[in-house]
This record gives sequence, structure tokens and C-alpha cells, in this order.
Amino acid sequence: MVDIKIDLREVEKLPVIEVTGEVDVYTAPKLKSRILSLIDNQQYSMIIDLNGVDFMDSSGLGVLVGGLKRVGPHEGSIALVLNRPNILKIFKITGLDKVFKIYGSVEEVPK
Amino acid sequence: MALLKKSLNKNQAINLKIPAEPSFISLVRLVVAAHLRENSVLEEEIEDLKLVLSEFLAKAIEARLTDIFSLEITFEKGLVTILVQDLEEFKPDELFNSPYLNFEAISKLIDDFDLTLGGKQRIEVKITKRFNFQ
Repeated sequence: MVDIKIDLREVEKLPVIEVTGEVDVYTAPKLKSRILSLIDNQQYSMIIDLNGVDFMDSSGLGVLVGGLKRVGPHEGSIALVLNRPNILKIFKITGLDKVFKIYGSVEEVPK
Repeated sequence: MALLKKSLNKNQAINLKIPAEPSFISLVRLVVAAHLRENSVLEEEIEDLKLVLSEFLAKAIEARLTDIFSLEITFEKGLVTILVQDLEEFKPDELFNSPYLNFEAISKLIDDFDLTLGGKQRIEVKITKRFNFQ
């Protein structure tokens, strides 16, 4: 069975969720849980680093969109770090590349 | 546990029987991708097929179309055909209104997505994609 690894670190006081592995209908709930735990702690702005993700389907997109909806009312933001073509493709297919702010590296994200 | 039967014959066919549970979808991706890589299929095209498979199988699980997926995957002259058999009677509402990628989006990634009524009111889904090689 495939699994994902989710690590949390901080860069200039901004939480960074680092995701490694495959995000699908089985593993997406783990990512959701981590995002929700930050929101529960009133951290409404975060970076999600997807450069370690090998595969993502619409289950993962749903989790990210759900997170964005939750931080929106608190004037928060979710910045995605993503430069893998196969993962970027599903964002483009669904038009979500225009919804999320996507950066090539954590360093590029405005803090 | 998965009932996994991998049989490569002259036509390079793989037969898989796996529980229709989310944790087993990655196994299908793994098997199909490994075989395509072995045959030097372009990585981008492998990723497209992995996405289509994941989306469709997730939809079928959500719609509770079966307890066991029976997949027959054949590779012949650059063409891969994936036949998902023994799905329960077609339930259009559950299948088309699930929260996953819609069929229009799926269809853009492959050459053909064909859903037909099989025997005993069961349905078969045939996913076809022609590949380019490295």
C-alpha cells in the first residue's frame, strides 16, 4: 500500500506542510487532517509544499480547495509550492492553477 | 488481502482482482505504470493513465458498483486497453455526480472511454489509450 508522509516546519513564522508520496482517495484524509489541525490552532496562512508528491488525483485537489475555503473568511491564504509537471497538469485541467498561488520553491513565497 | 493474479502472455495481458477499497487503488497504478515503463512508454502518458484509473476507480467505489474490481489490462502495438468488468447495474446519478474529476476531463487524457451494458445487467468499462514511446 502506498502512503504519504506529512511533515510540518516553520519558515519565518509561517507553517509549511511538506507532503511526500501519493495523494489519492486513500491518503487525502491525512492531508486534510493536518490542514484542519493548523486551522483549529488559528493558523490561517500556510504553505503547502507538494514538490515531494509523486501522484495526486482530485481527492487531493478537494482537500486543498476545502482548506482554501476555510482560511478565506479569516483573510488567510494557502500558497502551494509545486513544480512537478505531472501534478501541475491536474491543476491546469481543473482550472485550479488560477485559484491557487503556485510557486516553484518555499523561498519564492512572499512571507 | 488482495487477490492478485499477474499473468503476462503473448499479448501482454495482466489480470487483476482487487477489493474495491481506496487503499488498493495505488496497487493498480503501480502495476500498470511498472509495465508501461518496462515498455518504454513516455512518462507523461503513464501519468495520464494513472490519473484516469484513479479517478474512475474512486468513482466506482463511491458509487458502490462492486466489492471486487476485475481488471483486464492488455498491451498491444502501443495500445493499452483496460477493461473493468462485473460492475453492478449502472447507477448514473452515483457515477456521474461524484466529487471526483468528471468524465469530460477524464476523456481528454485518453483516446476512448466506453461504458457498455454487460450480461445480467452488469456494466463493463473500457479505457483505451494509444501510447508514444521514448
